[in-house]
Amino acid sequence: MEILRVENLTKIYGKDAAQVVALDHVSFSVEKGEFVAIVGESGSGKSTLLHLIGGVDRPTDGKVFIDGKDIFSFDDDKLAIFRRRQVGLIYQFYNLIPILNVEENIMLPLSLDNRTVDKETLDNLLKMLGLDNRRTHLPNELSGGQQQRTSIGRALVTNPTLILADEPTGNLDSKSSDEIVALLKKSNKELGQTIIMITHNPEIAKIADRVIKIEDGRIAREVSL
Amino acid sequence: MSLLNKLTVKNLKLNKKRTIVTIVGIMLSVALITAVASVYASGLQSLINYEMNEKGASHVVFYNMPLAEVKTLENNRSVDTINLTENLGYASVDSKNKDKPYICLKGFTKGSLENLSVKLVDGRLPENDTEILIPTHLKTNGRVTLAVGDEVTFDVGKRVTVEGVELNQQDPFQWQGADEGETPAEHIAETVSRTYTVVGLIERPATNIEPYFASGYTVITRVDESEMSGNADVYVRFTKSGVKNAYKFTANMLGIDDKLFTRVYRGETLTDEELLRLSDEVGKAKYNFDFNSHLITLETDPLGISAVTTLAYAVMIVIAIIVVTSVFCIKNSFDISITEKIRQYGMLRSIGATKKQIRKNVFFEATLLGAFGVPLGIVLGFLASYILIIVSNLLIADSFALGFSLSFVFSWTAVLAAVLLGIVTIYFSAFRSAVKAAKVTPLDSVRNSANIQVKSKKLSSPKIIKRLFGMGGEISYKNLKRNRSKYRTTVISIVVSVVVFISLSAFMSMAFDEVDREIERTDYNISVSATYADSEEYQKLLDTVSLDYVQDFSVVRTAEIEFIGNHYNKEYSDWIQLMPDENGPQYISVASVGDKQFAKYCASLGLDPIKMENKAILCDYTTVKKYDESSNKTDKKYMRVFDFKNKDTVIGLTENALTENKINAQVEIAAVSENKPFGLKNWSSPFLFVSDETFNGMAETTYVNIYYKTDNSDKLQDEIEVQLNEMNYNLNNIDERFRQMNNLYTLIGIFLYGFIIVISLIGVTNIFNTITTNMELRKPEFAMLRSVGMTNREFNRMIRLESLFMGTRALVFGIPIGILLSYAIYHFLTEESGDPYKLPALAILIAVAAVFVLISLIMAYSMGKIKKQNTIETIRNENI
Ligand SMILES: Nc1ncnc2c1ncn2[C@@H]1O[C@H](COP(=O)(O)OP(=O)(O)OP(=O)(O)O)[C@@H](O)[C@H]1O
Ligand SMILES: [Mg+2]
Repeated sequence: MEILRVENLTKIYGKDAAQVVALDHVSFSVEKGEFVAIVGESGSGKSTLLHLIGGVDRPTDGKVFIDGKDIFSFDDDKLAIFRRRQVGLIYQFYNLIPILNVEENIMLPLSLDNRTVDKETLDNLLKMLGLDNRRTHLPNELSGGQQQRTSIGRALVTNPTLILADEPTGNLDSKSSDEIVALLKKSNKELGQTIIMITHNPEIAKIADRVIKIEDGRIAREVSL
Repeated sequence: MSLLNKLTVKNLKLNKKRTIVTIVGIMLSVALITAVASVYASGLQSLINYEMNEKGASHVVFYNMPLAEVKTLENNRSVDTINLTENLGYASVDSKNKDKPYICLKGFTKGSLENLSVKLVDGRLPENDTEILIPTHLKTNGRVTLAVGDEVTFDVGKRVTVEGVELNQQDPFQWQGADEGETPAEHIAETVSRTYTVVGLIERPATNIEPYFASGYTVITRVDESEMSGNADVYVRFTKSGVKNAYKFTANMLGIDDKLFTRVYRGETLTDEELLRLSDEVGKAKYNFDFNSHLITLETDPLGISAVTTLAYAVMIVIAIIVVTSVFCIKNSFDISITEKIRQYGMLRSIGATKKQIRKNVFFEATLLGAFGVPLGIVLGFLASYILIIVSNLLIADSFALGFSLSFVFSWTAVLAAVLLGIVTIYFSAFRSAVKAAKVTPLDSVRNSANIQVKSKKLSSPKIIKRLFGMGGEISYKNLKRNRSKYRTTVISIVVSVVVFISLSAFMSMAFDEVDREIERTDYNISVSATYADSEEYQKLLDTVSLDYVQDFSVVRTAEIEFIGNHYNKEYSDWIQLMPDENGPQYISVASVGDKQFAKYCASLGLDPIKMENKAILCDYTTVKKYDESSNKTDKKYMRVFDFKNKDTVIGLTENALTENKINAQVEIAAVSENKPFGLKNWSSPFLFVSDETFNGMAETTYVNIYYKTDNSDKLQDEIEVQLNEMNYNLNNIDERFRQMNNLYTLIGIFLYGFIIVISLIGVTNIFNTITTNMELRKPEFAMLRSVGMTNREFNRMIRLESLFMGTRALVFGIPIGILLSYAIYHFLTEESGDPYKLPALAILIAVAAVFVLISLIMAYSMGKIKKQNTIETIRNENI
């Protein structure tokens, strides 16, 4: 089942001489349960693509369908609500709230919706993340890997249709990187979670079902593994 | 509580100091509003209390109403309380006031004694119908000597005219024909002899009991309502809702048309035709009546009184200033709080928070702060107004001889106003921040740079700064430039406080200078003026000058000489553009000052007082003001009014104001002088000063002014009061008046300085938040500077320089504006007096010192906090 379709997505920054075409008529689609890796040179437009898919930015042209819905037909608020229910975002810098503890950071998207999860689900999630004995710690009491796992937990907690990760291991040592990748792979395999992940690391790209290579804002090559 | 709100609470707790300071700002603002509203409400209530104390609590009186009618009144829903008094009749007494030859015996019920304006001076209230109260003016005005404890017998009867019509207190004493004061046209009939014991002395009752023109002194005994018969005077107090229709209700009671009646009492002007109709209607009224319109207006529509309206405007302006200043300052605190959380908001947006949720979150923060600040402010405000009222009463205690005092009332309206305005203030303060926070995009958090918007504009600092202050100087200079908008609010807050402080201080010192000048202008401490009936009284007045404590005195009697011909000085008539009539009458005052003073005065001019028979010293130098319409300016010039010279003779007539008796007056001018005798320094009109004997020969008067110089005016006043005990006179204690004036200005000073201090404090909360936050934000910068080897000393110097730059900037604007404003105040208030403008130097010095001390303290405080922090911690925290 097709869960994401990108049609002619174009993003142009700036005007006239200073104009930068970050994305140039990109089209592709992703099936439910797929693990897609996006690779490419620095500045090729990967993050731009991901932000557009996640609906945190709006394109110059083109469309994004998630679960069959044209997300840019929504107004900002509707898009925000759609995002918190359907999309999980993971960044290179974990973007946790320093004064909330692990559990609270993870619960944040639900609480925006005035929802909670039962204790068991939360316990399972924390166990899977390997954070069950860190649940009341504050971000600055955690290692980088633990902080990133927290932000993955925050992305997973809503059971999103789609997880978008922008270089989630970019800031970590190889051991922590492996843990994070394993965790993503696990949620993909066991929970059937659809994941799109940007990475610079070819080793990490290999674990994906499919690799999309971006060059100068265009899809250069698609490799299914 | 949702996680988002919890997050807010956590943030507030984390920035405890800023939170507290912001709450303090809100609290001060609300307290100020509460205090102003509460003082206003208390003032209004005090006016009502005063009015009730003066004229009693009743709104209207119906005179001589049959008791049967009273019953229907009692049951009316609009009526709150009714107090009855019974007219028991009149009795003749041996009064010196020929228009007031009776006592009017009234029976008061227990309620009437309590609720009407019966003000006991001595003794107690009567408990039965054999005991009476007498008013003080029975003695002071009527010269009837009766004292508490005396037993007295009155022949009480009805006042009837020759035609047999019964009269009461609403009718003045009736005289036969046009010749008032000759033959009475009324008498007392059907007298019964009754004996009473005087148990108390009261002040003259209010006019709704005894009108000014009443023919009998009110004497009150006690009656019981059940024993009343016939008619009664009915004092009605309406209910809260009833008082709104007081006039209509009354018109209906009187059985007349209420429309015109209501309109005229509401203060509308009627046409002549309407007035005629109204007086026709009122003539048909069933009873005589009297409103306490002041009380009615105060209770129903206080703004109908112009003084109250003025006060209300002042209150509104002051509150507007408070709200605007507070919004300006508190807004900054929110701004800081939101700027700090940009990343957090971006992150919340990226995980799907809507704009509305973010906005609500900011308002939640505002609500929380308000929930603490507003109630605290209200409590503080009432406390402050309570203290203010106590202090005011201490200071003005004796300024208002009529017994007006402020009483504190707790007013729900004030609470409501404070809450509403507090909410408005907080809402407006948070509004822009809320909009700003909601505008944060998810990408702002990813880019990790939202709050450091580096301006590409080139920053160059003047070379002099680097040369003078070194590298640290350059960094601090650039920092201030870069964060200009952040520091702008700080600078503006300081400027506002400095300006207000300087101009208010100037205003206050001008006010006090004015008092000092007044003191200089008068050369006496006490003056007494009196109209005397006979030489016995005149002697009594004269005797006061030999009392202890009197150091100098003059006894001044004056008359006006009317003479024919033009004797105006040419310069004078030109100056005031007067075209004198050669044959018209002109006037000059002639005055005697007492032999002793006159001798002294003559001696000072080198004249022999013995040889001053029918001779006068002319004193006609005066400062004449002239208003020029075209230039809108008042000019003044010191000059003589008349052109009389030495040896000239003034021939004319004086007239006795009472008897219209004219007397020939002729004096020769023995000297022309610029100086007046003691006591007359501030009399500005031209005078001929003559000896007592000369004065007696050419004028008649029964009015005298005595001026005393003393070193103990209070003691002297007491002694004079004892001496003149039973006379009618007017005593003016200048020392006391100046004391009162000083007190009044001190009171105004307390209000003004209190106001400016609190407003400044609100500004300080803003300055504190801005500076500490900016220091906090620059932690990485400081860490970097230290890591490249800046020493502690250099570092501290850099911080001090920043304080210096910021303070200087504020003062560069604040001081000139303050001076300008103070000059404007000078221009409006005292330029007339011709005194030169004085630079408010002390206020400026204080302002400069306060600004630098304040900034340095806050800087030092936040530096102390920063230094304690570990550099690695700082860097690490930056990356989460
Ligand atoms: N806000 C912006 N304004 C102007 N140009 C931008 C903006 N954001 C991105 N760009 C440009 O768009 C292009 C694509 O940027 P993008 O961030 O998508 O690259 P990337 O592939 O994610 O690179 P990296 O691997 O370094 O993260 C770049 O040339 C970048 O300079
Ligand atoms: Mg990128």
